Parts: sequence; structure tokens; C-alpha cells
Amino acid sequence: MKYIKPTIVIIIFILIFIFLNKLLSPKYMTDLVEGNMTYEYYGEEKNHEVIFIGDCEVYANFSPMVLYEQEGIISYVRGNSQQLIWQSYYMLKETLKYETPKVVVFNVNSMRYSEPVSEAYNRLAIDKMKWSKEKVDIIKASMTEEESFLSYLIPLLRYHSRFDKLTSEDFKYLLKTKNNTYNGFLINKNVKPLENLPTKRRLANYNFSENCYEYLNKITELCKQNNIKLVLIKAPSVYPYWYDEYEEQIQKYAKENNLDYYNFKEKVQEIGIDYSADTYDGGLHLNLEGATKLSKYFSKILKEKYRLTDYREDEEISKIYNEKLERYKEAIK
Amino acid sequence: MNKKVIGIIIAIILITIVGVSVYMLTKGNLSDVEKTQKRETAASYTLKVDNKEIKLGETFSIEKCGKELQYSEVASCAFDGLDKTYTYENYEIKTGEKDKITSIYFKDEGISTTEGVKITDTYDKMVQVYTNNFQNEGNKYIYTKGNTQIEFIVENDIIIGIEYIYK
Repeated sequence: MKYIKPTIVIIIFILIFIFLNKLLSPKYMTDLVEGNMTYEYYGEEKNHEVIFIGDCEVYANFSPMVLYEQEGIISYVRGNSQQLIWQSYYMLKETLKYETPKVVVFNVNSMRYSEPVSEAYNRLAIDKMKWSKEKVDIIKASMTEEESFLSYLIPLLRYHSRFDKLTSEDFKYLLKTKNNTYNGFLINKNVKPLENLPTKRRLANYNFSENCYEYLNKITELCKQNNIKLVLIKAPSVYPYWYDEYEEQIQKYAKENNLDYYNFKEKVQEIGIDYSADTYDGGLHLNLEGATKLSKYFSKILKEKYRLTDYREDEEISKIYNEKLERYKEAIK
Repeated sequence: MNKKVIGIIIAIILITIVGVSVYMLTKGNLSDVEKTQKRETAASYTLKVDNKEIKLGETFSIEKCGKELQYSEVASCAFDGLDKTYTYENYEIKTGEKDKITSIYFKDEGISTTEGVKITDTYDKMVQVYTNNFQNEGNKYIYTKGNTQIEFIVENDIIIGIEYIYK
């Protein structure tokens, strides 16, 4: 009987602690929506034949809804802003716990980053990942020097100073969430033509790091073990510069590992990309128009080369995807 | 008895969480203060060009840096704000958050560092001027002063790249 009072106090304390953690953590619903991309995947039917992994060059440039409408391909983009290669590896590993796609498409842009870059981007990719061994590993691999594992475990440690920055979003989405992407594709309809770019800088070293190769090997191996066709791609972004030396290394790697590699920058004319109209930030990412062109182009390759199923003929799945397509078309109007 | 043990365990966990939280918050504040103090007191590299002194970490302005020949901006993947690049005849100034100068990149040999080293000079000249107190990463040689750095890229004993960087 004498323990009831302290127990109640402790329970109240725990509840307040959980509540504060929830309240002060960013919701990524109306601002910085990129931070919710990892989480959106969990609510999906896990039956995709194609999974895209990579950084913003996948979630801005490839639209699964276009792939479905064009060729009946069902796909999902597991991409995040500046998703580094070790993050892509662990995202893929996590994905394979839920489903085994026929094809994994990996955008190789992140090969240029040999070590953790920015806490802010780490947070967008990791904060809303479900707790698992993969999450522990992704945190360990991604932390910058200033970060601590504990701050991922107890978000309050990181976000305590958000107290005076709370908005209505923090209360509205305290217990619920909403999707901002369409199977991982983030729509951007703005147009900002390609104009001036900074000088192409000389680098001290053009070789991809051992660390990046290690994770690329792990991705390759993981796909092999699961009988998945791994396809390497480079999205047609004009900046940051994709150096010839980078290109040579990826081509060599693809050849040595018997992988298909598509550099869409070299196919810009064939795809019909016009950098004066098809980009929303001066050539870094494609806008809706550009992404639609690229997705149509790639959907044909995927369908023909990897013998994917046309799910438009599957009654059950087409019902789900036709509804998704309807919502997508409404959003792109 | 069992209840007592469970109560003690929960209490220990809570005390640990609170203790660690307080430690982390305090640690974070202290390191911010330390960083600020360090920035304010440390010496730094600056670039003197055309009777102007360009200081890394300061806010860019045409009065301080001169009118650029070309301007370009690059948005980040997710966050607000732009990385801006102001291009001059022989160099480029890059700014980051709040328009603070984060980099001065030499485009060619038409400009020298304040201490008199330019692209096409030799490795020996670099060491003569800046000493051999550098940090070496492959063919990159980095000199640090406070929160600023000068990076030299050297190939076959010839300097092929120079950049001032604000850390």
C-alpha cells in the first residue's frame, strides 16, 4: 500500500517524459517534409517489384506513379535528403525485412561522400526510422563528431530548445501523421531554370573512399544473397559536378560486378529534359515535368530489361494503385 | 518484495535518464560558449586583394568584397537558404548561412594569397612561406589559424589549387 503513491508519481513522470519527447520532436509534416519520408514507407503495402534507394536525386527525379501508369510497375523510393551510402545500405537492409523486390535501383551520387556530413541531414533520414538493429547501425555509422547516440534514443536531449519554437503543427500531429510523398516521390512543380553554376573545382583526390566501396560492396552482396537485380544509376543533375573520374570508377565497378549502370546525364537529349524548364532549382533536381519525362524513359528500360509484372492487369493491386494514381493526378494538377 | 525491487529499478532508470539529460544539456551549453570564445579570440587567415581585406566568417557585402562578375546560387536539398557563389576574375567567394563567407577559391594563378603564394608556385615556396606545420591529406596541405584554413593542392611539386575555408 505504501508503494502506491511513489508508483503513481513514477508513472506520471514517465508519461510526462514520453509526452515531452513526442511534443518537442519535429513532426516534419508541413515544414521540412523530407524528415517524414523514412516513416511513410512503414504504412505501405510491402509488395514492390522495384525499390529505389539513394539521396534527393531519387526522391525528386523518379515518380513511382508514372512508372505504374506507363508500364504497370509497382515501386517505392526509399530516399532521403543527402542520404549517404551507409544509410542507403541500412535502409535497404531494413526494407528486405519487409519485402524482397525484383530490382533495387541505387543512385550512386553518394559515393562522393566518404564520411558523415551533417547532423541536420542525418536527422531527416533517421529520426523517424523504426527502432531495429538497422536503426542502431545507421546511427552509429552516420553520427558526426558532435552527435551522441543518446540524443537519438532520447530526442528530448536534442530538441529541448524547441520549446519556444513550437507551432500548431506540433500539436496537430502529436499523435497522427500524413503522407507528403507518392510512394516516396516528392512533387515539386516550381521552375527555376539552369543559369550560372559555380566553377568546377579541382579536387585533391577524385577516388571514392574505401568506406564508400565497402558499403557499395555490401549493397551488391545483399542483393546477390536475396536474388535481387541491382541496377546502378546516376540522375541527370548538373550540380554538384559529377566528375569524369567518378564516372570511370562507377563504370569499372559495374563492369567488374556485372551490374547495369545508367548515367542519365548522358541521355538528357534522348529523354527530352530541358534545363530551362524541367528543374526547380537551377539544375540540381528535376521538377514534376522533368521527373515525369525521366520516369517515363526509365520505366521502359525497367519493364523491357528486367521482365517486371504489369500490375495494371492485377485486379487487387490495380485497385489500390488506381486510387493512388487518382490522388497523384489530383496533386499534380 | 518484488514491488520494492521493481520500484528501485525504475527509480534508478529515471535518475539515470534525468542525470544524463542534465549532463548533456550542460555540456552542450558549455561547448557553445567555448566555441564562441574561441572564435572571438583566435587569429585567422584573410585575403587581401585590390586594397580590400576579405575576412572568412564575416557577412558578404559588395563594399567589403567588391562587385562580382557573376553570381550563382545553389539551394540545399531540404533546408531553407542558399549557398551563394560570387565569381570574380581570378577567384570565387562562397557564402553559407546568413551570407557568411565560407570559402574563397582561387580560379587561376592571377591572384596570390596575402602571404604571396599563388597557383603554379612550388611546394618549396609554400613551405618557405607557411612552414611545414601543415596537416597533410594525400596531396592536400592544410594550414589552420583559428577557424580558418588555407588548403593547397599540390601535384608534381607544383601548386594547382588554393582555397581559403572557414570551419
